[in-house]
Amino acid sequence: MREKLSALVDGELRSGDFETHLGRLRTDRELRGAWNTYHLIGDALRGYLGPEITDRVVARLRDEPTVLVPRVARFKRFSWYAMPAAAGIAAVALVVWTASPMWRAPEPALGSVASGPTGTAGPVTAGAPSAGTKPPAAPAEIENYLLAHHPFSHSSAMQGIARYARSVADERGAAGK
Amino acid sequence: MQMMRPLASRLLGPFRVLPFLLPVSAALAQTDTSALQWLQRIYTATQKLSYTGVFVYQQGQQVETSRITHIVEASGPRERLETLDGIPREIIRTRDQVVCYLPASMTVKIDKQSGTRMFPAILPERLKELAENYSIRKGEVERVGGYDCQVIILEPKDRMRYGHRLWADLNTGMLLKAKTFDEKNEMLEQFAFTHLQIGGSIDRAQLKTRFSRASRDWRVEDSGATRTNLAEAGWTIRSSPPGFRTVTELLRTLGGTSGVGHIVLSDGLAAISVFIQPAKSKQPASQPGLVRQGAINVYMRPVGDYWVTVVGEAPPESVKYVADAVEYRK
Repeated sequence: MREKLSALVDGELRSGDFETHLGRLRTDRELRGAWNTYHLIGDALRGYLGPEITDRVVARLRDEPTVLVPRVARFKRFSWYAMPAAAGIAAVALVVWTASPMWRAPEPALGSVASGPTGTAGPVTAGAPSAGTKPPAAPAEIENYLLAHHPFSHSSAMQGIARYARSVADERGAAGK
Repeated sequence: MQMMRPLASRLLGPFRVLPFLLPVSAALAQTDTSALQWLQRIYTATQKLSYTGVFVYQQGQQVETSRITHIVEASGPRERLETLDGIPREIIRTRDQVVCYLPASMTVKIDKQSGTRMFPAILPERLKELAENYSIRKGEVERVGGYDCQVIILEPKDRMRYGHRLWADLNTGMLLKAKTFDEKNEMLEQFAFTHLQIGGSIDRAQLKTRFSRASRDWRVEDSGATRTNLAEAGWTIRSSPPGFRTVTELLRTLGGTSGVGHIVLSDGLAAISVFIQPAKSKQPASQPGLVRQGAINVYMRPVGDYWVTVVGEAPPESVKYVADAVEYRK
């Protein structure tokens, strides 16, 4: 529901859902509170907040015992617009989503075992066995695939190296396994 | 759209979007060429501009802050990305190689590819291809990180790819924000600059790794990637998802396993990688299945004595489609 609300705030909800959610917003007080919060966050994200609102939001965030906004202080040295954006994104993460692991659990048996090649023929010659390889869903192994894949992503052509953030972001989890 | 404007922007409305900046193409349902030109502009800006900034990557509940510095030199562009949350991890990219410093696992990963550009080009024919797979149009002008940005919307024409919303600086074309959406139009992930300096004097020292001394004892993994023809060796993709085609085939070392086949498919924007490796390089506990992170889906399945792993910033359907189409014939 909250994700839908977030979509509604962002103007990204389909027209069919639109009416339904506006209706619920009219009757649900808690939802209306969230609606206001999302707008504030949205404004912060877009950098629309005036400096005085920004200060208030940042002050409030500073008082909150959150773990997801430890960087607020760090952004202080940047020009003012950096702050609402950073705080806003962190706040969005706090407010909107429920906890979930970085990698969703594998859905076993989604695929069928195909009748494939037998024997050792093929281009792929068995290399030195790696001590580091793990079952398919191990984050460390998935990271290897991700890093190898990224240079070919054409969205990475536009976003540049920034795309890599999504693979290196996982490294702590990977190393912890 | 109009009525959903945030309160603050409604109050500040007159100052926010000047009438003459309103896009004229918003009503066009199909791709208009000026939107395509914007994509070209974004690509050129990423390559040609020198910049340094801080951006966030957000996916579900996860938020990661990173610093990026990109300097264009006579020898080509050099880039360094450093994560600012937790243990600092780094990636340094030059014209033909990518080096990752991963201190938690004390590993340096080197991906050097002769004949493969680490900065893939968006060529005009790829843009045409893109327009065949996505409806591309311009959105409004919105402000991101202090810059007025043109919004570009890429809507997928089928369910085999995700939608995108891009924010590009009106003056330079630099991409300041990007969101990816699934088929329900729900956001999967986003990148957004919170601070950015374009041009001006950027300290070259920011391109140097902080791990040059520490990493001397680390394990080094070199991809040793070379171009190859996997079809000749018997591996083919029976059919690709609509709009995707094979763009390259490589043989590489992956996570210490050498001789891993790597086929790349692309629809002009989204790429799907197929990795083929001997089953014996994996642990017996391997089982087929799907995992996802943000816009990335990973699907694995055994094919005879091999494991096929498909990775792509594409919906599970596309990734599974490709995995199921991989076959060996000799």
